[in-house]
Amino acid sequence: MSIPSKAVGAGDVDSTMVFKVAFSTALSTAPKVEAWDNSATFPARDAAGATTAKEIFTGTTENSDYPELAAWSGGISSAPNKPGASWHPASPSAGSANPNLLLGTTNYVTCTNTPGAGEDTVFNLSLIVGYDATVPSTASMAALIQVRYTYTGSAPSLTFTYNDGGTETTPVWTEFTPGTHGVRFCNAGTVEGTYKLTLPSSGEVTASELWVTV
Amino acid sequence: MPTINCTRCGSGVEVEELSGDYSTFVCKACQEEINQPAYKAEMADLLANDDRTESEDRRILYLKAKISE
Repeated sequence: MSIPSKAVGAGDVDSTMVFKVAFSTALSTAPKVEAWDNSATFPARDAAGATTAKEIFTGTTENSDYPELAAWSGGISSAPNKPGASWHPASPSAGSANPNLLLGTTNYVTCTNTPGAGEDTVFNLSLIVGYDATVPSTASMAALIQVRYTYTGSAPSLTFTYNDGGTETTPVWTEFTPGTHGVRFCNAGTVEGTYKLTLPSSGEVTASELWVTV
Repeated sequence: MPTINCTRCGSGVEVEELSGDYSTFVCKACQEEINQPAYKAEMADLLANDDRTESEDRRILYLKAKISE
């Protein structure tokens, strides 16, 4: 397959082989998965996150004003840990937790492994939105997923991939490029070129599909 | 319960259990302070639009509360 396509296993389901980041050289600490406002217009992006003011982070009355994005770290792809069904947390945990709702460096996920040279870490993302979300959502949902990592010596080069038409046990990894490609949170049954998440008349909606797109 | 400290203001926040790296942790109150200019900019953008939706009006009320907190 090729971009655009659906990331297999993405969302609030029992999968972890969804997104993978590989590092050419060893890290000194476990990387963190964070989310921040993107003040640029997709596919452009801010160089780094600074604020968490958009509605995707402030939430709405329906979801108790909690962040709407969540992440799960599955560790290294050669021995991944799955999150279990319906893993999207009901509320954020201060600092780091796995899984956790995402809000800058206030609520985030520390990956469960520290990749060595040539190693990787895998994770999943989920989005749940209340019926009372602001429409249109062009700006309110613009977010960065930021992987924060530390190293000593030479900086590693990073390779970002997603499970593109494979399975949880036999993933097919396709490389994507931050700043060229992004992730859209969509309805079940989404087809290429029509990316939307329909709000319910009450309650919340879970994004059933995540698409990597240009 | 264990406590983690905000790297910006130093205040302590209790957590159920320690899990991961807290070396970059910023407490909710500090992040809200950092967010203030972004809240104000978003409200100005919404107020400048005469064709607002009902949900955008709700968002303005929400932002007003955030800015005055």
